[in-house]
Amino acid sequence: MKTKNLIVTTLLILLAVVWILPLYWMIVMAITPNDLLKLNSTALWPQGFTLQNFWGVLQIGLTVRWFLNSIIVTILGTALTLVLQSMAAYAFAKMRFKGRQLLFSLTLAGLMVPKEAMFIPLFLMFAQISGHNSYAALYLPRVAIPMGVFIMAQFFRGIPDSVTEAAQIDGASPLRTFFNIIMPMSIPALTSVGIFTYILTWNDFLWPLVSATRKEMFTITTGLASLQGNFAQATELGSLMARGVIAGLPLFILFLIFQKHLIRGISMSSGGKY
Amino acid sequence: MKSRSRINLPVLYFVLPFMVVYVIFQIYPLFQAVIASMFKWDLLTSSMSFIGFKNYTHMFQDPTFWSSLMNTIKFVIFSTPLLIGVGLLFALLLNGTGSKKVLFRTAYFAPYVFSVSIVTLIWGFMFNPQKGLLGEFSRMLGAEPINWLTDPTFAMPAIIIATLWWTVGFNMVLLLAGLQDIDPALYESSSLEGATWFQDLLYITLPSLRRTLELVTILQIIMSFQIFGQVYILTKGGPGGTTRVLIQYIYETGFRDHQLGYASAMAFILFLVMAMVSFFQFRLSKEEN
Amino acid sequence: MKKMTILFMGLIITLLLLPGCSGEKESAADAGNAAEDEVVALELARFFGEPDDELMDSTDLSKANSEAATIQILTNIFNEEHEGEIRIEKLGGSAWGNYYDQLNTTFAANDPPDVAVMHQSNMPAYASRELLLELDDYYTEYEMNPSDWTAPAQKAASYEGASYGVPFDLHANLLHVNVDLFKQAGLVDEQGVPILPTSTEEWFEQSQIMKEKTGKLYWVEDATQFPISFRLFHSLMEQQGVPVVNTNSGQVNIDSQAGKNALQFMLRRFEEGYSDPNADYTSAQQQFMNGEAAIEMNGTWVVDQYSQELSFDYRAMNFPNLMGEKKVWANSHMWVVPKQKEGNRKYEAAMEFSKFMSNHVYEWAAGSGHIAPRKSALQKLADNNVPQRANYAETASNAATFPPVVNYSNIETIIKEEVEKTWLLGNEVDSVLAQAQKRVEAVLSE
Repeated sequence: MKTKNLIVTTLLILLAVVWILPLYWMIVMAITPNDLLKLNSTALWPQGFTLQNFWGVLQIGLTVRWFLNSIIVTILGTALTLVLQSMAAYAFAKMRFKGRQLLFSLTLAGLMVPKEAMFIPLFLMFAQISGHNSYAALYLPRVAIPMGVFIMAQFFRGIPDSVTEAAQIDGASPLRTFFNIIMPMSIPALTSVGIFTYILTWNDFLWPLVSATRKEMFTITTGLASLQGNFAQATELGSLMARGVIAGLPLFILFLIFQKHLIRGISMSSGGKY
Repeated sequence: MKSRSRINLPVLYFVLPFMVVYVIFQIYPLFQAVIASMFKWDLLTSSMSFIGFKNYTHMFQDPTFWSSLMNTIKFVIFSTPLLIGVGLLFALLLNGTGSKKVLFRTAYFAPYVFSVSIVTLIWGFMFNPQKGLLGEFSRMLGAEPINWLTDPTFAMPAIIIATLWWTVGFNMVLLLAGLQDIDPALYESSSLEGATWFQDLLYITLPSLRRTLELVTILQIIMSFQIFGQVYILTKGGPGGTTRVLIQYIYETGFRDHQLGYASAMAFILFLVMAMVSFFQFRLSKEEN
Repeated sequence: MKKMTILFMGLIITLLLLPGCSGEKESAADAGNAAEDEVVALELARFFGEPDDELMDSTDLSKANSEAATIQILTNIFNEEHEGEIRIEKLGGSAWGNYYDQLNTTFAANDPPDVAVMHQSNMPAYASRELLLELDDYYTEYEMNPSDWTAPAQKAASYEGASYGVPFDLHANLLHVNVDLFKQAGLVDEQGVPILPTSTEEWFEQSQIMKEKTGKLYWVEDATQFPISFRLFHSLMEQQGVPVVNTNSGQVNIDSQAGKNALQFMLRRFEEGYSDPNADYTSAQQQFMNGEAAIEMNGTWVVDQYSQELSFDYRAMNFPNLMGEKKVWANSHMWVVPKQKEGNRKYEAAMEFSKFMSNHVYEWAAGSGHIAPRKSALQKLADNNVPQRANYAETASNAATFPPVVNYSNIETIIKEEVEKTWLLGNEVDSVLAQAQKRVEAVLSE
């Protein structure tokens, strides 16, 4: 038993080092002056130290506005996705109605469409109503991506029918059953969907690039890209890495905060499904 | 009669809001794209002329289409088991509370928060024989560094490695969520009977995870079929076009060569391939029941 | 349940109404300036990045030390000189790689920017679709002097007999030379200026000498990442007087003796170990900057960086004439004026801006390292002793832009991909040339 634990722990540590190493390297480059990186980019220890790569970005007046835009779009996109998509998923998983199978297949089909193919029709649609350069143009298409429906439906299917039937006998409406009983039971699944959605929304690049073309409407991803000169990876590698850190750090922190909801502690099992 | 209307109204509540958004922002553009596949559609002028199935006949004679499709399929076949297997390993080992587990989970998931441009920037450097860490390590060990991104044998593996690093956290998180729904009492009673961890894994964990594993598999396959960003930035489809995947070709055709009709046709074919694969997977899982 | 429904409905309604109080739409930016309604807001699309924050509003040309700084400062000066009349608004935030993605969507929506920078190589795609204003009459109207433009610049701005752009620069491949290594190898003349080969045989002789005398690599270039190998192939074809594509006859000349000569030379350098077949842009640059390669083939845009940063004696030189005529790949940045719907046209303001930029090509060349497209500016650069410019002044006339084709990007990718198969995949020169020929012909016939 003990040796097994030792082997497992060693393996985990080794893999963790492998996983973290590139990120560590990224941070090292982020605090190294660009000039030194032009000559040598393999150093695992900083060849020099500077905060200018970060400072240069944060000094730009609009950075705060870009962050704000990303935050608004991400919060709205994630909230709407969680509510709308899990409700639809519940109907698909737990309710009987005509055309359910067809509608569900239609929803799944949406996952299999390369977004590069729909990009232009979607773009033109918003252009026709002068809808670009708005938050709605940035978060609404996100809510239409049916990944959450598919994930939540699969998890809802695992909830025994006895739970919903019991609630019905007690006189609860489907909405109340859903919000008061089903959702609290599904925290880990909801947390996953929430995490994926906010990360994918935040890191979306091509769509905000073509839709939010006014400087004030840039998201943090397009805003940071706008600073980039040609051949940036040769001339301003440290700045590029620093911008990557800046864009990713909020997501990382959010993950740290929310990841505990992925796990159900043993003490919670009494409030669980059994 | 009365009971039927009682069922339909709540269903409307639940399904309609999402469906409205979905139809407007996903189905309608998709519908337009499918129609467009029968047209010559110029991106810059938006001019469209009907050409029937010409896009499709052209496609089937286009060697770049076939090589791109093959590269995509190759990627799916080789990366899917790896991504699911490693994700499962991590989920199984790191299920539960405790700060050590939190630390490891965070380490394996962390890459996922970064965008494709920064991930490929890092790995573009990692893989480079002169200026990357992997090259450094090889030289320290006295070996010739591998030209990961320019050697046809290693280019696809390089992309798979970078993708694994970047996205394994997704599968790990989903599988962790699935593990939460396994009744702890099952393990308690099996330990009373003296079962080993391996027997637990085989007879309790994996069967209970079936539903989540199906979910992860189908999602992983669908996402792998649509791989693009990493390939485009790391190798641009090279060396010599040997890693060009289908979405890259669709992007090049539509955005670079301005041929949206042809791009839509290829996207539709890719969609059909994915639909077929999903269909077979559903069939398989139904039979296992 | 009622509370739930109300809350829920409230949430939905609020969220759907939110777009109303979000960012501005197209004309809203002008709404705040109701009083100055005569100010023309000119929408400008460009790449080049952004300078440091303290230079964002600067009008001090002495601070223009990079593409980003120079273009921003010039734009600010224009705004200042035209205050109350024209105000430049930069469209979007595209980095260089995604510039055309963004630009193309504006064309798709029939709402392109008022003035945009464009590469000579990409311009035919738009000109052929009649999306750009023909500028010949405007040159006269705005008293611009096309005869002051160098021949390559004039050629770059035209397509099928009409002009579509105001040239801003030419940028070409140069040789960046480590003079110290050349001295060490004894390959310099009495003034200490490196002697460059004048034929492929001399190329190999020199690389052999370099290896023996210094142990360093003779030549390095980005062989795998950007389409540098395509540019080299094109350069060598032009030197032999055989264009890759003959736009008059539509003839493709890839699978030809000239093509063979070019590709065989390119491949032999790698096979004999005098250049690095796996180098990408950054590693090629690092090898040169670290003194591990005597020559880097790169563009005009790195001249100032190298002048300021290199620790060894550096000289920018003209691309050598290896196969006949003095020719080298070049591209050109030019300002184009997309056609607009009636009622939305700001052509006059766009031409004012283009003329302004044309009048400042000296500052642009000095700040970016690119080659000025005007003879008067070239003269001024030489007179003012701007670092290194005299050393590659000849490139201004050797510059050979790619024949104007509508499917340029496609052709560029095809040629790059095919030729690199010889050194990355080990394919035969003949089969690669035949394959490239076939594919390019297919593209041209579409």
